Amino acid sequence: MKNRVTLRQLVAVLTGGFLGTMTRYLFSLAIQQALGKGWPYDILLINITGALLIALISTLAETTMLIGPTRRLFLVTGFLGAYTTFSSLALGTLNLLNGGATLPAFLYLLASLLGGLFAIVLGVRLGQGGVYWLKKRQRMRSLGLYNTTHSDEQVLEEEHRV
Amino acid sequence: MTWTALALLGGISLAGALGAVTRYLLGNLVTTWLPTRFPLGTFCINLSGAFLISFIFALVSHKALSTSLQAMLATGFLGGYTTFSTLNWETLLLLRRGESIRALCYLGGTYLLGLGMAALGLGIGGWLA
Repeated sequence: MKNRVTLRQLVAVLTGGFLGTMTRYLFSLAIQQALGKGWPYDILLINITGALLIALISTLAETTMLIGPTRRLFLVTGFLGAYTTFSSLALGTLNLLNGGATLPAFLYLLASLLGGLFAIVLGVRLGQGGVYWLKKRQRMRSLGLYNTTHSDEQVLEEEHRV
Repeated sequence: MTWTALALLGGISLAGALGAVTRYLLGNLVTTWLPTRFPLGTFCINLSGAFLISFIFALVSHKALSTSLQAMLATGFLGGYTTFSTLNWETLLLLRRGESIRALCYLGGTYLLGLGMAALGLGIGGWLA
């Protein structure tokens, strides 16, 4: 049951992957035009922004109803999976090494490794902040306190009274 | 933008879409056949992608493959097939479950073996071309 792939799921991944690849290609061209081709700024920037977004979107998907399974498949597996890339990272590092640029190669690897992890942590934090804000708004709305300027403590107090 | 550039953009994006679907199906297949707590699906996908991109690069530098075909296969298909975002996200999931050793093996293993596979692809591609 879990492993049966539906057409709906395939289309979600396919369209997400199409748009993600297109975004990566165009973004990469734009970055290369702005910063040059000497060092893989393009792939690094793409990978790090993609890592931030995967953490943000997955956090929202896990804790809210905003992003359902198909939407998550489109955004995460399709778009972000295709937007970011590991193969270019590996080849880019190897090409720098083969060209004798050992330090730039090492910096590229280190920036990807640490930058990726940092982006994930930041993305989770942003997602949790977003969830907190949404829940607070929802709570205020359900209590009829929306558009008023109650503090968090007051909202909780009202909730207890109810 | 010229028509050639537009066609290339469409071709690369389409190849990337196919790469993403291949990753999804292969990932499902691996986790069904070999259910482990280690993210084996993404691991195999990124390593095989690193091998193939270098293999293609070697063929192109020996003029055995055209650069527009390289753009479709490498930038398009393999770019959509391999992923950096899921690699980092799965590392976090392992860390969250307190499996630091497994997380370290996954992230460090992908980087190290990925470079090794890329070197292998470059070598075999150059030898064949």
